[in-house]
Amino acid sequence: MKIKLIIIGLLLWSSSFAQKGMKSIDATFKAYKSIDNVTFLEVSDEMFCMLAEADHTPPELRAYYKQLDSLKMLELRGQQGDPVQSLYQKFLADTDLEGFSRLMVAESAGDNMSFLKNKSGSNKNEFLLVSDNAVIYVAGEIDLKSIQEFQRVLAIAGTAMAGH
Amino acid sequence: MTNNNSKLAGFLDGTRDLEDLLAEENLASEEQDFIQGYREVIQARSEEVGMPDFDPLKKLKESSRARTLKVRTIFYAAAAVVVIAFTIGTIWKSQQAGASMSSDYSPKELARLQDDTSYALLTMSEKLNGSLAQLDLMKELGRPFKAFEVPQKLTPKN
Repeated sequence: MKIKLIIIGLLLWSSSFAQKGMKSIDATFKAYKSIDNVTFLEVSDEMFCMLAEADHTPPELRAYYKQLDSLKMLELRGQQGDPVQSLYQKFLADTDLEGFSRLMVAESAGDNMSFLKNKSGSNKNEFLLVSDNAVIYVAGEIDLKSIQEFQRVLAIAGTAMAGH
Repeated sequence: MTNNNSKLAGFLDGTRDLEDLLAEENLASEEQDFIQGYREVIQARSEEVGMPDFDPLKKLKESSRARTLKVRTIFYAAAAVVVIAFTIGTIWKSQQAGASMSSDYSPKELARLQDDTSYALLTMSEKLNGSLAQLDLMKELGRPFKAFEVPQKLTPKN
């Protein structure tokens, strides 16, 4: 009887230990957005629809916005590179990325970047970019090619982000 | 004749039945007429009585059927009204929500949101294109690119 209780206790302890620190992407974004030196941006499906229908939106961007379901971004302001742990390391350590495939990893001192993808539907994908100073999550009817092409789309739309 | 009369008398008395009488041969003409007449009376009686085509619950059933039909019609009409009202309400609500959402943001705020969205997408696009360009360059230079891993399926960490 004692042995059974010990085994059950060990199983419960190990399962709680296994889940410790692993959050969903949404939960990690929510947890990080309240950090002082972090800028958070979230655009929902409804907002993308509204942006696509806004009068001043160029037609090229309209088509692009209609493909998107969700966008989330965390960006470190000011001092970059946490002396204790960088955003890159912390986000990857805290987030449950089950189902995601790591498409690309570039790691060197002070310049880390991971690019991940999860197929979430027949023609829907989730992309996650994690770097030292920013985490960007995009979901929708998009693929790698459409992400690559955004630079060109924006150039055509003539709304380059000079201010940023 | 006397014998035949006694046969008929026996039948009339009830001591003989019709089958016995019919089985008899050499019946007198008046006895045959009696049997014929008796048969006709039985046939006429059976036709007259027959199976009555009368249903005492007919009117009740008809009124019940009419009432069921009426209730069903009212139910379908009510359901149609509810569905139409719900559809109109949903459309109106979504239009109101869309209108209020649009009106919640000024053109300046919308432009800002668009800028921020474009910035996020542009950052992602640039990082991806930059990394791919770097990968190409490393390939051209023949340098090992051990820092790049393409692709790798992630497993949950324990």
